[in-house]
Amino acid sequence: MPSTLAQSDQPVAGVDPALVPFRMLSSGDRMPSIGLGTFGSDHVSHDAVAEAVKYAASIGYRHFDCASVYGNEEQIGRAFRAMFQNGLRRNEVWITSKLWNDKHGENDVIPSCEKSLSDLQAGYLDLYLVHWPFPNHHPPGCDVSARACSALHPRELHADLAQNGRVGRSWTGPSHWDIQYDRPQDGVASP
Amino acid sequence: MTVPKMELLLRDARIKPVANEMELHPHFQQPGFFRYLLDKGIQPIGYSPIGSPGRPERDRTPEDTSPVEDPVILEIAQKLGVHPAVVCIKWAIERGQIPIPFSANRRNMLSNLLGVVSKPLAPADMEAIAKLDRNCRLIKGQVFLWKDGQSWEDLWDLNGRITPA
Repeated sequence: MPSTLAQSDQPVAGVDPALVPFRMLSSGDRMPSIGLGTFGSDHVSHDAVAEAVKYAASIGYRHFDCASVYGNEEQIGRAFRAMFQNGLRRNEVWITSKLWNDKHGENDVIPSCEKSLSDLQAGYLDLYLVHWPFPNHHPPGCDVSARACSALHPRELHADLAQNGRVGRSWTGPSHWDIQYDRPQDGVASP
Repeated sequence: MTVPKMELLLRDARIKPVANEMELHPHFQQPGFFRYLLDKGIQPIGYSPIGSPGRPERDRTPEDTSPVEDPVILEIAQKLGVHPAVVCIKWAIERGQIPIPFSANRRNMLSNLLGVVSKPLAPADMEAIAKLDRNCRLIKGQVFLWKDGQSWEDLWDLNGRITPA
């Protein structure tokens, strides 16, 4: 039991992470077959999500699905740092993050990825997803009437990120993609 | 993401995607897209694996159904002595997607994880759950529409072709 990671003096019940199956990706990476989502929706605070991450790691979770738009990567990053200081090794954990919809622009992608890297204090990401294929922004907690278009076109962004070593070998995938690769959107310049 | 858009991505991408994150639960199984991804060697990651009971208000409509309230799921859960959410997690793992349930509740986090390492669902239960698909997309993407006159269905290329933006 990974009791060294417990947040209290009481050992916690849990699962040996070695028993959790994994999926072999086409890149050769082993992705734990369950992850903890970290979108607290509109009712779980950033700190509470970070606490959940810590607790999850203490009971055997080794895969965390993060995103910049969830607004809590800084808090989760502090949880990761504490976990690593307590002896968990970075390569024992799978960390995913995602590029938000208003950062599809050519000059926005890498800074956004670097912001997630810095907030999460993880050194590298195992997987970096384009969060949605929709190049717009809505503020956290908005209703369905909130719509705004910004920019897009991440045609080469994955390759650039992967080649620059910011993301793990697994690189990325689309998350909830819908991008039209060869057709610039109305009023938006193609890169 | 949809099949026609993944086709374009695979055509254009210099580095092939290794994974695709998508909504997957017993009431929204996306069988065609799921099989397509496996055929292409792309690992599906499933969000809202238990039907996202905590999703924001903006993502709720009266037509939505909840897999954790499905009688078949409830019956299997009762038989195994687990929470219906655990049945959804076990189904996801055995089917081949990677579920990413969120919870801040310690008991639920633990039971979800224990569901992964305990005895798999019986083949008959897997078959029964396969029949529960209701094509019920819960995270519809209404906030991603930016043109008047569009409906959320337009985001998902329901006729197999890319809906013009």
